[in-house]
Amino acid sequence: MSKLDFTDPALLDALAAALTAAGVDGIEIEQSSRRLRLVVEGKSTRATMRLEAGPASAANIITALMAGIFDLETIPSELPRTVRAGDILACLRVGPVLVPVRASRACMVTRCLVDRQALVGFGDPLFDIEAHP
Amino acid sequence: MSGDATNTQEARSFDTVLIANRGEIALRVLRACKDLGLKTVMICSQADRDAQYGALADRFLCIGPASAGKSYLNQDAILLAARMTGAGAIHPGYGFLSENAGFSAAIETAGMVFIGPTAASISTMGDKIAAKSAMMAAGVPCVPGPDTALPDDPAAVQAIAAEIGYPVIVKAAGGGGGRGMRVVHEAGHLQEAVSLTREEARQAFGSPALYMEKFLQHPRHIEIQVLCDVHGNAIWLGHRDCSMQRRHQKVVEEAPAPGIAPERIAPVAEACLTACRLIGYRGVGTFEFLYEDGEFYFIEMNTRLQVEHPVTEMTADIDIVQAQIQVAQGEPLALGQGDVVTEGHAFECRINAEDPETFLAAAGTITGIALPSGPGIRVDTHVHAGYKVPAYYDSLIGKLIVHAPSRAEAFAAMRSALAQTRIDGIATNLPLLRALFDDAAFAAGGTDIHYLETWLKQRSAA
Repeated sequence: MSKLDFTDPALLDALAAALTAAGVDGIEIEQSSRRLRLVVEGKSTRATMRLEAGPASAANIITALMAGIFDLETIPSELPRTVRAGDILACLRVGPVLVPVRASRACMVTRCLVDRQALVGFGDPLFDIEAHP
Repeated sequence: MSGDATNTQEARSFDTVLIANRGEIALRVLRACKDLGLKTVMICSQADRDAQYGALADRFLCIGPASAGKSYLNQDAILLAARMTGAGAIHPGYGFLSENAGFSAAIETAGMVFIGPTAASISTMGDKIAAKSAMMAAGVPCVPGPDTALPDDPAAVQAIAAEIGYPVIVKAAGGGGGRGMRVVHEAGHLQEAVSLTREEARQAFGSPALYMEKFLQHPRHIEIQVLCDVHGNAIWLGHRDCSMQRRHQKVVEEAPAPGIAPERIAPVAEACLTACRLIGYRGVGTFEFLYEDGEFYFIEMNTRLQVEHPVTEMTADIDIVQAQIQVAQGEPLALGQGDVVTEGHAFECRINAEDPETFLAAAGTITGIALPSGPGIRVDTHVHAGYKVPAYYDSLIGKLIVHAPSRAEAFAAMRSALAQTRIDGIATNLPLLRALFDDAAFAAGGTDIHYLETWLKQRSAA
């Protein structure tokens, strides 16, 4: 079997469409040292790729898990905003794939540090947060 | 056109280059791109995200953690970065993924241009047996020994060694960097050496394939720099001597190699160009030879830009990186062989952040720096006062290059330049380099690849 190019947006889009059509929630593919976990959320043909680990963040900052286009349009919300651990704050768009940026703990998100649609890199600060009141 | 590459041999135009490397070579490639009017995307790891040179790129994007495996060696992350930034080409620099056939293929499959040879060329030259076979077919002189893998039959192996003549060296076909090899001086030790090396090769390189060659006792390390386009044109840009090595790591390089007559090396270089045409090679490459008793013996071809390319640039008066990029764009070579003229002599010292006695890598902050300047002096470096040398990567922090009309003048110029060079706050190998340029045998020229290690042992014993 030939190796899959996990960076190919067309491949990820096709996989997401196939999963949606088959009514499957997700798939995990391992290939040599690489692992892709693709999870379909809702009925959208868009897929969400969940990453297993991210960079260590400063205590009061949420950082990007990977390089991507910072996409706040998908999760409209006002700041400041109280969130629970695991809540999605924004997404990083990589081709047709949206990678959620989640709150690592319950906190108050006070400020967004990135312009909408900006290209951000791994570890770039995205949000200022404060401890949950 | 946009950043997407037009992926044909004739027209592979691109306007944005992603530089998949770090440090001095990333900066060197960036400058070549700027001079050609190309936009640049520089990637970095978390450890390099504060590097000042990043600001010189049109985009500077962190792609992963400090570990090279998760950043500079992470093919997926680099490809993603290229896609998101609209890069039409990727320059791998040296080290990291520069000789990874899979990376070259993935880039080209994705519709971008790999600034380097094809995956097939990299694969051929990365397999020592296949490379030797290709070289023999082109008439490139090789070390005595078969161009096939050693058989399993011990008697057959003994027969091959007897025919070559002891001492012989047993090497892993997929090895490199001094690993996976053993010297055997007599028949009684051959079988054990083959067994140990085979197991080491299996574990370290994923293949138990071995080959055997005559072991040369006091060779010099001589290189021939080539440049090839996709239209069948190939030229060589002179030769270098990189014999001043420690544990197979080059410390000082020079061009041209002293004491080698042009009429002796020219036919060897012509055979290298024949080999390039036979395998359809494109881009820059270096043929490495051992040289002993007036004879050349091919050891390997590096299918990438070399760390020591500046000494050739200084003597041949050509920007090798720019030429490499232009070839990748599908342009024919601007020079024919008759246009290549080498003049004067050049030395390069690799400045490493390491203890000059123990050679242990020395991370830390550079608190002050003074670099030489003037006619014939060039410094390729990314460091500055306040720069933090990370502990994660190669210890090379800069290259000091001098060029002068003669070897003696270049030697004296390097000695002077080293005296003017100061890097505070971290340990460097500058004291070692200064001592080397006070050495009479090195000044005379022609020292072999064992000279530095012997010299170091004598110094530590004194």
